[in-house]
Amino acid sequence: MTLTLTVALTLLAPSPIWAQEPAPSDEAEETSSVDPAGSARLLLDGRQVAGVGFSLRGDGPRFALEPIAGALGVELRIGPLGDSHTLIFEDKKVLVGPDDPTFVTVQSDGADEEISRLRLAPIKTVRGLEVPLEMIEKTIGDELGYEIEWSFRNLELALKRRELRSLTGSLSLVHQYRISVVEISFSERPRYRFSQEGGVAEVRLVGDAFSPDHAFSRPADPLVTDIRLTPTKIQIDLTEDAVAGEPRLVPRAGQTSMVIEVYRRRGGQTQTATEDPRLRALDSLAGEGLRRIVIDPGHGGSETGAVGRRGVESELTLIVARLLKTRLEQRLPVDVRLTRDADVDIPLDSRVALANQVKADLFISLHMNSYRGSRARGAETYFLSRDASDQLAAQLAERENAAAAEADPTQKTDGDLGLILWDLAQSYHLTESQRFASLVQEELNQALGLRNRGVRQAPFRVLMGAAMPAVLVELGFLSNPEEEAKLLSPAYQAQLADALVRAVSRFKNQLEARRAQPAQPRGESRPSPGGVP
Amino acid sequence: MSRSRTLWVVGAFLAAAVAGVVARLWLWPVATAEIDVEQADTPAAVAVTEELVLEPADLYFPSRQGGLKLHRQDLPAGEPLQRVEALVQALIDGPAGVADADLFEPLPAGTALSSVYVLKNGAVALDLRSPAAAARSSQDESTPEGDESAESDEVSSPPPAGEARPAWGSRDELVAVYSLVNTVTLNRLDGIERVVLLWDGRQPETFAGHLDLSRPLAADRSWVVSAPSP
Repeated sequence: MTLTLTVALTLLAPSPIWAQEPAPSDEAEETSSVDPAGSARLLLDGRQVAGVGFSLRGDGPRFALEPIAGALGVELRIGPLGDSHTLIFEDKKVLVGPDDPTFVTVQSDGADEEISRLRLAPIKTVRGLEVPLEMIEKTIGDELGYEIEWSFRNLELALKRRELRSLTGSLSLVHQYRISVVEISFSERPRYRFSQEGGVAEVRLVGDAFSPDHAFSRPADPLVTDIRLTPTKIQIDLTEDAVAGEPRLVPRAGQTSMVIEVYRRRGGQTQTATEDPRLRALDSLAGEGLRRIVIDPGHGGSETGAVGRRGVESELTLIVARLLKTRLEQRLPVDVRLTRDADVDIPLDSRVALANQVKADLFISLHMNSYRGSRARGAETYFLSRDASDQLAAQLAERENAAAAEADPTQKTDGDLGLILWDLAQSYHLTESQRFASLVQEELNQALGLRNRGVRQAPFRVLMGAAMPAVLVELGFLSNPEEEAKLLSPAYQAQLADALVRAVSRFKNQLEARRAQPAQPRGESRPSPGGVP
Repeated sequence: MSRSRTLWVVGAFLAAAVAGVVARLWLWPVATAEIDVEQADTPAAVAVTEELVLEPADLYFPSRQGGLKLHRQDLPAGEPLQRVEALVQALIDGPAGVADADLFEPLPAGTALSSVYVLKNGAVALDLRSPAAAARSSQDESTPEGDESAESDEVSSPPPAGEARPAWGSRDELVAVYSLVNTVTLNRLDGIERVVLLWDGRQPETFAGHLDLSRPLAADRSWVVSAPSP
């Protein structure tokens, strides 16, 4: 009876799909009474500097923290009960205590707190707090750039300065909407310290050396006067009224980009409304017509994009982009640039940054589509969704406010003005993007007898932050064998390019016709910040 | 004469077989009844019954027509986070057993859900494990204890960046991402309005080179096509 019940309950027992498998415990406590302990030699770059207490349990060795910190000149504060231990580094503190397999890293400004897990818990012994090798490596080792090696045979704990890891990468500087962005792209995630003093923001690499792939030519920038590079230091010279934000690390296509934003400090050389470049930008919207176009052949390099039976998206977009550039320049008085003219990896943000940098009047990103589920076919034209644009604006305003408050907490921020202006500009660009997208779609449908998929909106990364009308055109589906065959044929590629040329031409005419109309008085509708006449 | 004897033997066999079947049928309900009685009296059994409560859920599966199609399915009831996990798992498991051959699973085969976190401002983060990472981890689990095989190095080394990124066009990417986002946000779960997608514990810039994943995504109903499938 009882047996039947057990079986029945086992069968009925639910196995919730969210149930997490408990991690198999491979750290079974050894109950053996052998607990060797003693003192080992502590070597610093091959030279004995002290002795270090250690103990060996079944689960691994632990070493006294105090002599190790002392040998490397790291300040160690011990709590009144002898339990809590705090390692003080230049920009952070690390807290650790006995019998708890974690340590806590707190940034000096208190902004960020991180809990790291250890495989073994530190223990308190007569020799003080003893911590596992893993903890020493992750704190002292990583912070100061030391390798740590334990030799049980020789009873030696060796601290060796790491050889500098050499990182390659690139450097860029772009100014947009009152913010200058310095982006350093590293081949691997860098270890660094950041400081800012006397108008110089400095990234000091720890255990790493950086050499850029190619020479960096610094564009004229209103907030950054110079960028100086040495293998272990990147120094950004700021204008008197500029302040740099903390660097952010952003993973990008196998690399790690460090993004440093530079803002104008409040309270310094205060801007008047008319000096604000954003206001000038608003004045010039639609005022210049259409002179410069940036065409972005989607994907490239390791990022192939969609792959058909024979066609590869990154190759086909480049073919059509080159055709489009040639035909546009032949038929219209425009200057056309490509974001890439080879099969190379280009980060999405760099593509739109280029368009902003050259002050393009139109941005066209070309793509080939795919869909697993069906034989979908046809072209589609996208522009940025309103939601994505709004989020971007809110994020920008938040950052501006934070930077302004940091620079001078007593000064009221004008983040609201920034938001209003950004919003006005973005609304304008979105409306124009939609107009252009409709023209592109009309021309493609008409020329090629394609099924009308129409104009759509989506938060596409490559369209974000564009300071001009921007669209993404999906020219056809590589997943559809018949459409793929067409997309591979030069005649069809030329037809696509010609349809896009007609769309650009119509858009240019419309823009210029609107400019010729009597404009509404601008000065009255312009929002003015409180207190500024 | 010999013919009637043969009939008799066959008849006897048939009778025996029928008797056996009847006996089993008669005994079976008795045993079941006993279990039912016991269950009602056992607190553990009551808890089991409670956890099995199902509630209808709206799943937005990719459709062969090119967008998302609403499919209603019963999933275990629970707290919002448990519901989110159940919803995403149902999408990953795919529309198996669904009569509608028009639907298919949004993510590459072998993708798994590692965990779900709550973020501020009504967003939840779904940490998805790529097929490559999932394969590594299952290899890890299946490695016998103490077996220091040649695979151990491979297991501990981090995956190369950009690995296992599907070579998808934007339509594949849009439908996959909004299958997750719409399913998680359109089930009236308290306080869950946006979704952040993590891939192997990291927030990617995009999933396949188009859609921005650096900000929480809200539902986009424009991808939902036609009427719900049965």
